Amino acid sequence: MLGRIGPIACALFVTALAAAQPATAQERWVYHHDPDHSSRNPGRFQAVLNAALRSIDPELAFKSFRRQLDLEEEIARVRPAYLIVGSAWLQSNRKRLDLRKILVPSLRGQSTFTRVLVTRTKTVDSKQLSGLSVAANSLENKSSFRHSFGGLGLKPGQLRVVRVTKDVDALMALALDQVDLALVRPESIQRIGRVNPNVSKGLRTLMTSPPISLAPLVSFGAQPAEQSQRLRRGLETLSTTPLGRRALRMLGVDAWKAAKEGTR
Amino acid sequence: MSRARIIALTCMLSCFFGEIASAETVYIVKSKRLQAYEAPAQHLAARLMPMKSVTLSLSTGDKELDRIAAAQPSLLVALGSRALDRLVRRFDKVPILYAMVLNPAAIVPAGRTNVAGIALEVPFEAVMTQLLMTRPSIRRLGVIYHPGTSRDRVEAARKQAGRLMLEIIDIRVNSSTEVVSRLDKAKDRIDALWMVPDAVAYTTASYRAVVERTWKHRIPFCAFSRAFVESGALLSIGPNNAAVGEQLALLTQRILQDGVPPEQLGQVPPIGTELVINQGVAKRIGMTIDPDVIDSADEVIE
Repeated sequence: MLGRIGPIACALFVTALAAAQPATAQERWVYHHDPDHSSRNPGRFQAVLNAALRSIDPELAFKSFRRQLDLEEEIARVRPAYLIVGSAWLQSNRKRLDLRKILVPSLRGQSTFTRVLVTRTKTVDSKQLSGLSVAANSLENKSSFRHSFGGLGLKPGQLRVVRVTKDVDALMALALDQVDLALVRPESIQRIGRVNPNVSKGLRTLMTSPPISLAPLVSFGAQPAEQSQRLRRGLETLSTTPLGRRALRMLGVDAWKAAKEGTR
Repeated sequence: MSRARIIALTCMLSCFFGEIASAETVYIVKSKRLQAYEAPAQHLAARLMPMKSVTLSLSTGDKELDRIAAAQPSLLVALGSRALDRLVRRFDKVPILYAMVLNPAAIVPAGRTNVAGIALEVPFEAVMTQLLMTRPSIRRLGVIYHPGTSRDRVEAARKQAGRLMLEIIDIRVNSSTEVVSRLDKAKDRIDALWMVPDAVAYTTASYRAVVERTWKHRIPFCAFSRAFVESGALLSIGPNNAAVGEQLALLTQRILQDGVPPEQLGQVPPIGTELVINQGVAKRIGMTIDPDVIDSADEVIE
């Protein structure tokens, strides 16, 4: 029964979308949902990003959603002009919603990142993962699970997921033998291993995820060219102010650049 | 009876008992209606699906326990000391998992094999890993404690400290009135102060005095709960309640699906932590924290 809920929910979402109210002329919304980089201080995140975007264009307003369901409900109610949205959701919805990439972010020159599935157990084999437990600070829902594990042929429900809020928790859970696996960013292993070598000792990498794109800025269909250009210029130069740098850091990126023309 | 009828009867009985076996129900029992229990209860119930779970809060009297007993639960989860106490007294066969219990050893009778749970305290190694991520230069870790109350805890930490290139510096007190003078004497021998839950050393007054001294001496003060960070500690690393719920689900699956007896699980450390940083205190003591650490914190108090 649960397997039938997903398509029904999607159908309802799309139907509701047709009746959604567009933003008013005085306020154009930028929605954000990125399970790959969720701020754990939503109030502060909201305030900083709102201030940063309004410094680019006073008509912009920012709203972040931790849960995919909340994002979709709000889109159905008030359609935003722009979205900064994680790649799993974008891939699933871009054609249906006519989402168009405007800017792609980067971090230290890279516009994608990877996660690695690691273990300390010698007997664990990448071909026999079903039923094992994994600690991860991602894997919010089935989409993000498929995004990370689809390449291994694993389906949601085949792994016992324990969601934590930080990579250090996932690695400590593994070090303390509380889980079989941890799904983390490789740079976290290095960073944490520098202060606690026990965490990285004996780790085996079973799988590296396919490159996961950092959450791009997309428009909901065509938006007024002048406003989109203003937003684009503002984000591309955001790193020139302290507020802008803070906003970028909270988004988990350090630069924005134009997407290729017509990219979806 | 003919062979065909025997086969038919066997099939019917298999279907009947199969149906019962698949109707496992977990009862999640909260000590009382408290906001702190909501996150673990919700995350646990969500993770257990499609297994059925029922969440309830205890009131006075036994009516909830009678209801639970009548339902023949597959497993019970106790959130809080009161829930654990009541469940342990009533059920000695049904597996019981606990979380958010201050002193389970004082509640669970010796020899009980149907109880397992998650400790309230984050392991020393996990706390220190995150403390060192905020300040990698820490080597000498001061600990204020009353030997009669916290000696075992401090000695256990000392054994692990070496692996992290840390040295535990004892600041022993016989009462809370000695805390300030002992801390003043030790201030040049420590790089940070680690707070342990010691009710003799830390009273409201002595805690306040310690906070003021850590500000004055510019000593990073690591506590174990968000409330202390609000009151002036630099940071705290405590259990994350939502992750506790997720971890309870994993333990439930191990017992009900893998057949692991509760006594084999015993008490396990909490997996998820909550890192809370007081940015205002960091500025006051002249400490710059890596922006990556700030951004990964679960909460930053300005």
